[in-house]
Amino acid sequence: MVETQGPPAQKRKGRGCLGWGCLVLTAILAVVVLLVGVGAALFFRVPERLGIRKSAAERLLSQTPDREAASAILADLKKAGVDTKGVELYVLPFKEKEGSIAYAVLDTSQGFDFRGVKEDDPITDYLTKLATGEASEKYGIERVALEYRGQGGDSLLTVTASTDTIAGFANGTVSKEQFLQGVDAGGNLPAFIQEVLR
Amino acid sequence: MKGLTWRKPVFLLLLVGVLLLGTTACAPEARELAMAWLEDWIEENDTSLARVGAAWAFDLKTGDEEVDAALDAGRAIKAIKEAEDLMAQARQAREEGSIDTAAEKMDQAIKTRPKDWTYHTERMAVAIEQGDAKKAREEHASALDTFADAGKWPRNWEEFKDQEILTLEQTRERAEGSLFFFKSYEQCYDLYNGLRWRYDEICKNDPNNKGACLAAQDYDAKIDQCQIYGPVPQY
Repeated sequence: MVETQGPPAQKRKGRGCLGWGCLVLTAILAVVVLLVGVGAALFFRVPERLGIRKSAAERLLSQTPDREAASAILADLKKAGVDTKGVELYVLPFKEKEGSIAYAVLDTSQGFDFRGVKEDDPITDYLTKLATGEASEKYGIERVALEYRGQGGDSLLTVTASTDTIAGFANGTVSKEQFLQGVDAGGNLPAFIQEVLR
Repeated sequence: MKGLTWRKPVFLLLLVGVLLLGTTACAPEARELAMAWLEDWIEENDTSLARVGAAWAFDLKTGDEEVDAALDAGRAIKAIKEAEDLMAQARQAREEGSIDTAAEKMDQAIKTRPKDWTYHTERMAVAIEQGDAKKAREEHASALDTFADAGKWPRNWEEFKDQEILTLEQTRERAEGSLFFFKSYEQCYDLYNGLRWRYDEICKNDPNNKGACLAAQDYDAKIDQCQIYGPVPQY
C-alpha cells in the first residue's frame, strides 16, 4: 500500500503593507463618497422631494389659501396708491393656530416696480403697508413675507417679519435697528449674483 | 439664519458692494433698492450674503418654525400656482363640455394640493356631471374633512357653503341647457337634492331669506321630475 501525502499546507500570507494601504484608501474614499452623497442629497432636498421630510411651509401652510383676504389686502394696497403690477399676494392660514401669513411676490419680470412706496426705503415701506392695512388687521395677518424676483423671474430675496414688529416700527415704538434685527431673510445666492451681473 | 455662527466673510460684502457700484448706472431701480436694503439688513444682523445664500441652498433653519415656513413659503406658492393652473384648465374643459378632461385635470390639482377644500367641492360637481354619484359623495366628504381640518373661522364656513352652491348652480345651468344632460334618475336626484339640501339649510338658519327658501322648494319639486330620466332605485 502506497501512502500518499497531500500537498503541503500553504503558508498563509499576510495582507502586507500594500494590502492595508488599499483597504484604508478604499475606506477613506467610501467615507468621502458618502459625505458628498449626503451633502448632495441635502443640497437637492432629496428627503423633501421623496416625501420623507416635510418642509416647514408644508407642515404649517398647506391649508386652503384665504383668497378673500388676499383680494382685500391687494385692494388696500391699491387704495394706498401702491402700484400692484407684477404683485401676487397669497394669504396662507397657519395650521393649528389662529392667524395667517400674507406672502407677496414682487416680480420685476412681470412689471413690478416700487412705485407708490417711500423711495428711500421701499422694502420697509412695502412691509409696513402690507402689515398695517385695514384688511390685514381684519383677516388676522400675523406675519408678512416679501419675495423679490429679478428680471429673469428668479426668486432673489425673501424677507419676513411679524406684523407686531412692523407695526411697532411704523408707530415709532421699535427703532430701525431693532426692526432690521426682527426681520429674517433668505436669498438665492447664485440667482442674486447672476442678477447683479445681468 | 441668526442662530448660525458663521464668521462674516468681509470679502463677499465688498464684492457685492463693488458689483452694486458697477451696475448702478444702467440697472433697474427696483433691483438697486432691494439690494441696498439687503446691505443694511446684513450689516444690522452681523451676517453675510454668503450665509444668507447658504441658508437658502442648504435649507438651514432659523429654529423658529413660523419664520422657516415664511421663508420657505415660495415652495408652497409654487404648488398653489401649479394647482391653480390645472384648475383653470379643468374649468376651461368643463366650459367646453369635455367633462372627463376636466375631471382628470382636477384630480391632478387635488394631487398637488390635497388640502384645498375648494378643489374637492368643484370635483364633486364635476362627478355629478359625470353621473358618478359615488365619487361625488367621496369628494363632498373630502371637502368637509379638509375644511374641518383647516377652517377655524365662521367666515370660512359661509364661504364653504357659498362655493358649494355656486359650483352646483353652474352644473344646474349646464344641465338645464342640454336635453341629454342627465343619464339617470340618480344623476338628476344628486344634483337637485344637493341644491335643495343646501338652500334648505340656509332657509332654516334664516327664515327671512326668501330667496333661499323658495329655491329649496323649487329644487324639491324638480327632484320629482327626475323620474323621467330613469327608474327610481328601490333600496
